[in-house]
Order: sequence, then C-alpha cells, then structure tokens
Amino acid sequence: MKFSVLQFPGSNSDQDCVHAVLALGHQAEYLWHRQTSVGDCEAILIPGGFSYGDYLRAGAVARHSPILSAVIEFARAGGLVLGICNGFQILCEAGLLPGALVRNRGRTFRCEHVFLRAENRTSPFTCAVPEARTLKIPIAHGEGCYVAEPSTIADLERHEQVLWRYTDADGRVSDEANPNGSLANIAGIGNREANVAGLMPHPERACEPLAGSDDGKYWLESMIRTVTASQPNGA
Amino acid sequence: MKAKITITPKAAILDPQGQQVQQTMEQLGYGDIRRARVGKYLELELGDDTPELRNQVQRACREFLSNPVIEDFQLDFE
Repeated sequence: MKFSVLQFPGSNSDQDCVHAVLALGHQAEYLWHRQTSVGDCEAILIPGGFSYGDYLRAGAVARHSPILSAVIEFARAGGLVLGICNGFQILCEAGLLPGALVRNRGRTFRCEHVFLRAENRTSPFTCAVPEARTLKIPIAHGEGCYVAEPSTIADLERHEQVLWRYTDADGRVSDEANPNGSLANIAGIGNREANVAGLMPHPERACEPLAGSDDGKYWLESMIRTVTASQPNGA
Repeated sequence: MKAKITITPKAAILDPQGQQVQQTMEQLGYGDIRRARVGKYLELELGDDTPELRNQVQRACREFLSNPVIEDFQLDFE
C-alpha cells in the first residue's frame, strides 16, 4: 500500500511518518506543499511540526497551500487522511474536522508519553487496535487543547467520532490524565464519513520498541487493513 | 486606505496567555487587574476605498485572518 506524507516548510515529523510506513513494509512518498496533485497514493498522512512557522495560527497558512486543495478533493472522494499534531490543526483549520486546537491549559509545552484509549474500534484508524488495550504514545505540543461548541462535542459523541481519549495507564478518563485541557479528554476525532481523522499524539514516533512503545503501529495497521480490504483482489 | 484588525479569543475560550498576563500584573502590583485577554493586531495597507475591497477584507477576516471557532475580530477602516 502506498502512503503520501505532506511536507510543509516547518514540518518536522514527515521523516518519522515515512520511516514508520517503510518499517511496516509499505510504500511512502513525500508530497511538497506546492504540489497540486496527490498522485496515486492510497492514504495521506499530514505530519506534525510547525508548518509555515505556525504564523497567524497553527495550520492557518498550510490550510491554504496548493497541496491542501488536492488533499481536500482526495478526502471528499473518500480517501483516508490522518493528521497528526500540526496535521490535526491543519485539518481543523481546513474544516475537514470540526473544532479547533488552542494553547494548552497549563501554558506549558508538553513533551512526554501519555496513554490513550481508542473509543471506537470500527473506524479505518482504530480497527486494528486490540480490545481493552490502552495505547502508550508520545505527545509534543504547546497548542493541543481541543475545543468546540458544546453542540459540536455532543454531535461528535453521538456519532462516535471521538476516536481517542487521554486516560491513565488503566484506561480511566480523568483530569490528571488530560495533558492539555482538551474538552472531554479528546485526543483525536474523525469526520462523520470516517475517512478523515486527526489527533495530537504522535503514533508515528511509537512504532518500534526502541522508541519506548510500538503501540503507534495500530494506526497504520488499521489504515492498511481498511485499504487492502476494499481492494477487489485483497492485494 | 488602511484596515486595522483586532482579533481576540472568544469569551468562552480559555485564554492561558491572558491569565498569565493578569496574574503577573497582579504580582507586580499594577493594581486591580481583573482579567486580561491576549489577541492579535493586524494593519493592512490597501488600495483605493471601494465597497468591493471592504467586502474582500471583511471576508479575509472571517475566512483566513481569524478562526470563527475560537476567535472574534473587529475590523476598522481609515
């Protein structure tokens, strides 16, 4: 399966994403922000970093880049798109996902491992997660506090679009386990059609035991399972 | 013509920067500071004043310069 990984000036997790995909035995190529087509890829990863220096707002300029128009078209046609950290911020700015990310409640940049619980194990981004397992994944962000109107949060909950929540090691949602003040401990969400998702934690940095956890591979494995299952020959 | 744009976090959105400014001002003894909100200020130099240009700048404020989910803006022309 072939992934594309976007590259903006200021991206810094693009190589981690490509490394994670290659380590799982799949293909990955970079898409530069000035390109106007996503080519023949089967899924897109929007990596973390500080696209365009986070000027104006995180993701605000990247959202208007040439490649994003092609990504929006790809997503509207049902293609799988996962935004990680800055990629999540970009997807929210682009309106592909509801809500926004603002400065962490505690004012500090948080760089540590956290635990997540996959809330809906039927989505293309969570279907490979083993049942009743908390996922140890690193975070590294200063603006990861997820906010949205109360009606938007209610909609997300009703349609099972909250895909990951911050929990403690035992999978319990608590204020102490929430690193940034996100509403309802939301770490990541999907769109209603379930083909676009974003999260603040970095699964691509946790795909090998050497990195302290390999729970991140479930994100890519879920996407790979979804795409290969949809192909007629199961290739 | 000039556009002067002030962007502030919506009242319902937590503003940790504002909180920090308020707390520090209090610690420094600047008096009865009850709340601070930290936003952005932009100045745009524009061409000749036309209703169309005003509309375009208004649209830019809504669609690009501010994020209506988390921010309010005030736009003044002079």
